Amino acid sequence: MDHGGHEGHEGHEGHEGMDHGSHEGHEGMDHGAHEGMDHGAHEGMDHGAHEGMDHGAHEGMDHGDMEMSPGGIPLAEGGEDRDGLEMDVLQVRLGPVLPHWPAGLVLRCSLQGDVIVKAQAELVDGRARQDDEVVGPARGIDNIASLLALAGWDDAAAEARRIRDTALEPGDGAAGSEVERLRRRVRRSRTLRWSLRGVRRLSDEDAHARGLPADAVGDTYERLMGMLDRAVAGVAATAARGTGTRPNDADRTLSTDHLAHLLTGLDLATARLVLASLDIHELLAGQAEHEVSHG
Amino acid sequence: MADPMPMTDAPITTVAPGWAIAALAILGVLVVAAAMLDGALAARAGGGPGTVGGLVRPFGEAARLMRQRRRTTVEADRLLWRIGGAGLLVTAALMVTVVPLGEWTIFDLDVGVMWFNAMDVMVWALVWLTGWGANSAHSLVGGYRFLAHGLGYELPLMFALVAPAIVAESLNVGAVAAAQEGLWFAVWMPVAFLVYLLGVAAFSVWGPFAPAIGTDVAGGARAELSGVDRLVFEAGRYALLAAGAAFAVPMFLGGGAGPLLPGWAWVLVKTVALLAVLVWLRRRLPAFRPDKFMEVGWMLLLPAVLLQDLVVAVVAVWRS
Repeated sequence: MDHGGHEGHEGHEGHEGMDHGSHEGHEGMDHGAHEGMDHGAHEGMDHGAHEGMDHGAHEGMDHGDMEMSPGGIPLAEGGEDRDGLEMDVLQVRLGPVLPHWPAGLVLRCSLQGDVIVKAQAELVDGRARQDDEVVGPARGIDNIASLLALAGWDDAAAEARRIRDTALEPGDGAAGSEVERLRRRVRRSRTLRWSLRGVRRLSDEDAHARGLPADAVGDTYERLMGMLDRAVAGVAATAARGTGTRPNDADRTLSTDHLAHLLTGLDLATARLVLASLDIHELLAGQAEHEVSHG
Repeated sequence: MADPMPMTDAPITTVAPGWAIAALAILGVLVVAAAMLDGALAARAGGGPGTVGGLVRPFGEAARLMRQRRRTTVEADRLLWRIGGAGLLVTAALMVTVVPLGEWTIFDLDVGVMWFNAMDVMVWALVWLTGWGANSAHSLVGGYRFLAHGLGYELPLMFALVAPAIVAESLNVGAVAAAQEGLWFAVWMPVAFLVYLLGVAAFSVWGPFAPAIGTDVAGGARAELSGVDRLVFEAGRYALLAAGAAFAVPMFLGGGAGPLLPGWAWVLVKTVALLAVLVWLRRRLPAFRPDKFMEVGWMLLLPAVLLQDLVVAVVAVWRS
């Protein structure tokens, strides 16, 4: 990557005071603290490591009136984009409370535009829950509602939420026919298929390596269909009071260790669709605090 | 005015500028009606407060927003942000100034079609500024998404507007309406009509084109708008939808032509019908993801509408 090209970035927003290509005028600055970011010496350096630098440390530097953090917010730093051009990196935290998002999950993302170039997943509240045969299917339907809402299909999402509420009520198998109807409706939508086809296709090995159940194999559309199939079967099993095998037998717990790998390199919208399509019932705090970067 | 065909000579009267207030009032009524319809449809789908509750929901929502304290963000570019948020409503109002209500119009511009087109391009800047001004990552993402959609829908929309103008041999909206003697343009240029409707939904950030204000980015471009700002932005979206529907009437649906009722009434009836379809459509379709829609816009819509223009042009030449 040619960092000589940095001279061309004078106009880069907010970088007036800190164009690293030309250090003139920075005499007063502590260059010792700068060693790690001297772009002149950057050739061949791993850019993932560069992005991983703690930019918060810049606040301590004496930049005087150089507008490093207007309003207390540090300016976005530049970083190599996928196309090799420089682009601002925004640090954005998703969660722990967000609509259509697994409760308690915090995803610390580095965004370039709306692409997640680096992510780190944590769990705020790692208490293990145990879904019984009523809550399990209802949670599955809730995940379906989330995915449909994220796909921008308000009507179907509202219907799924209604079915979820029905499924939570004890007794009658009213949810059974409703969830079957929802499945038919979703299957009929060509727009939805077009929109979700090919999104984050996972192979058998991928699913295994990420600790995902076997039904996560395929693209997001196939995963949604799988969720609907499981919901139909789950509601039926609940109605039959646990005679037949539990269709939710697959372990729907996911460790946060694997999440960052799954979502890095996707844009925000796709990442959220993929996350919802994994049909996570429970999250497990990861062993290591992984930081995953793309490229 | 039982004559289904407007008079071909001087069909349009320019009214005094003061009547613009009446035009605004009509636009306002359409906005409220569209919001009520949307509320009712949402209530029916969600099984929530019932259809009646849904009908009055826009009023409750408006009251809530008017009392809500105005939030602001750190280092927001307040001027541009406010321009973006309030601009949608202004743009919609400017759009309807060239739409003839039967025989009356506020501006009888020779380039009325271009005027409308210029206004809908302005929406690009306005939605983008709304996303940009708040200085927040989510709203910025929303702004970008709108631009991505814009790259997909704008050219097809422009060429869709070209088709009626070719046949009418005029960019004057009244002349285009008058050129549809007995046969609506919507009937024999259906591709242009459908692409135009898609464009209307798109510049209103509506339905399948709502990822720019999607829930996955906490409301996208409007994420940080609150209180009155939010209210004006939402009203602006409905107003754009209504203005788009109103403009389709002279362009594709024969203007004020129709039996029994006077011309102005037909314009209103057609506008309301089209607006209802657009509002209803929102609930039927999942979002067109911007990255995927770009391909549709360029590989499908643009060639289709260009072909439509070609057919229309050949017919126009053959006729003359």
